Amino acid sequence: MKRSRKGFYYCIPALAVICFVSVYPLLYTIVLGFFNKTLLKPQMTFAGFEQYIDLFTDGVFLKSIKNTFVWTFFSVVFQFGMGFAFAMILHQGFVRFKATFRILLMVPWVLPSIIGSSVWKWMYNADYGIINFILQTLHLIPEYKTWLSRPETAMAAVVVVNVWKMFPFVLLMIEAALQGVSKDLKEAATLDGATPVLVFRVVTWPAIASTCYSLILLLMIWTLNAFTFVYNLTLGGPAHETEVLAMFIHNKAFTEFNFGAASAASTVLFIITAVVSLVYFRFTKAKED
Amino acid sequence: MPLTLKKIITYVLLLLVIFIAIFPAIWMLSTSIKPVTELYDNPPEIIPDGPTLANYANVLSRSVMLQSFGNSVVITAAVVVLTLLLTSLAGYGLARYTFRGSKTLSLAFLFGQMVPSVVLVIPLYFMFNKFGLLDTKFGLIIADLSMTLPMGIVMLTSFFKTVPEELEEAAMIDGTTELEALFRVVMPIAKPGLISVAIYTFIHAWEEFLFALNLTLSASQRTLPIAISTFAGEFTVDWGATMAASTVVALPVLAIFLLCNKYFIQGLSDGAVKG
Repeated sequence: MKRSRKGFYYCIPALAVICFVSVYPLLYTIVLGFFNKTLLKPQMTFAGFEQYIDLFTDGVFLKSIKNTFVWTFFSVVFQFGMGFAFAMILHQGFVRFKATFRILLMVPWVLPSIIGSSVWKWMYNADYGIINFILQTLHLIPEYKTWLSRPETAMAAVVVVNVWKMFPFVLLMIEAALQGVSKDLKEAATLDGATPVLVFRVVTWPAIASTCYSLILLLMIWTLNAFTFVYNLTLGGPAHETEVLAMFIHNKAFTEFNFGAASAASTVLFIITAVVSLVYFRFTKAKED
Repeated sequence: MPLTLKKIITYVLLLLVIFIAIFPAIWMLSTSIKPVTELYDNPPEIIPDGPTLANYANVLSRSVMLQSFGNSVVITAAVVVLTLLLTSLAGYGLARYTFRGSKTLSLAFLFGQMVPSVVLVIPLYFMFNKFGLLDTKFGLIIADLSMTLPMGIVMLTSFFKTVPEELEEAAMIDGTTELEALFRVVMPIAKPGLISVAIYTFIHAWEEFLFALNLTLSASQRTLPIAISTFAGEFTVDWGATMAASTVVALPVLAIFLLCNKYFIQGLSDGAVKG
């Protein structure tokens, strides 16, 4: 590593693009949150915290915050839980065809989200959906259900798609981390009479813990930002049941054309994401030190 | 627990989870080759009695679909090339040099991955409107870079650090400039890293939805994901055609992934999780 300003010159082209399409827009959003701007009144007028006060007294916005929490919590719990469990299963020494298993498991993750959501929409179809058929054949439901348009099931149905998409990623990352766990240590512990649970706690977990924490935080950030599934499966409906913050912002901006309010809500989403990101940095930094 | 029982349970669970993972893709293919008369069969069948390519013919004969396909190819190719070029330069700068603010800059790039695109799309809409970039491919290309550059830089910085400096130094003693050394010596060695950035960028740009939805307006600038989404909206009942269109979008990504999956898993674990 040399110390020279030359390093910065290499970064200038990328930095210029990022400033134009990311940094400046971000600042623009934060500023716009304090101004009124709608399609009918395109001139910006200063509003102070008025739009924030409006937001936090708006039932739909509060509901979208609650939905975002539910959506993120259940998505991440199941993405991580399933990924972790199946990584442990796949990692066992006697399992053959690991490479094939890995490739097949990655399919949901590489399938474009828009495609994944179209297929799931068709599978959830109320009259001819394969999911209704399978569940009824197994006698798990008495009659076909409209999964995506019933308030009781809509959120769960969208979470299922999000879990399906992301758990393979968790699985592969944890499996890769497991390969770095020292076999000698494990054997030594087993020879000393440690139970599998104890071996896991003392040898395996310390080696993969930081990967697990990073993964959970990344999943949280990705799920907070996820938009395509909700947009394609439910558009935030029925009756705002699945309207997460990203969807709320999109509706405010591009359906109601209330850009000021949408920007204020964007700032809220950005703050939530930034807090999670800061925790993530603390973890990655702690690892390096 | 006897080992054979454990093995049986393991394989049953693995096959079950693989079934869950790939079933939607299988169902998509299956639906796409079904004639309309078989779409609503009860019980539904995975392999149709009379498979047909009519849905594909229907989809590919629509000029809107072909144009969107072309747009997606152009935009994705441009995003991949620009991302590789800009992230190679920045990744090299950060891997080889320290300068005032270099730590902060690395951190800022890492943070760039975390910015929600829905937060950027409203201001981008106004900015693009002002600069005449709204509803243009070029606008969409640079908007996509907001998401692909940060991750690419993070991945390549860690990759370039694994390339020994002595190699470029030797090349430079022989009279090549540093930039030439980067392109002729470092980049060929870091090929696996470049390939994983390229694949990641390709997948991202190919499936990008939010920017394309809001920053393009006319059918002539539309990308495939948007075409599919409006397609599904126009013909809510024609699931055969929708699934055929979906297959057309999914195939390039699946093909590239199958060819390069080795690089892909490695690169992502380097870039995302190790930080």
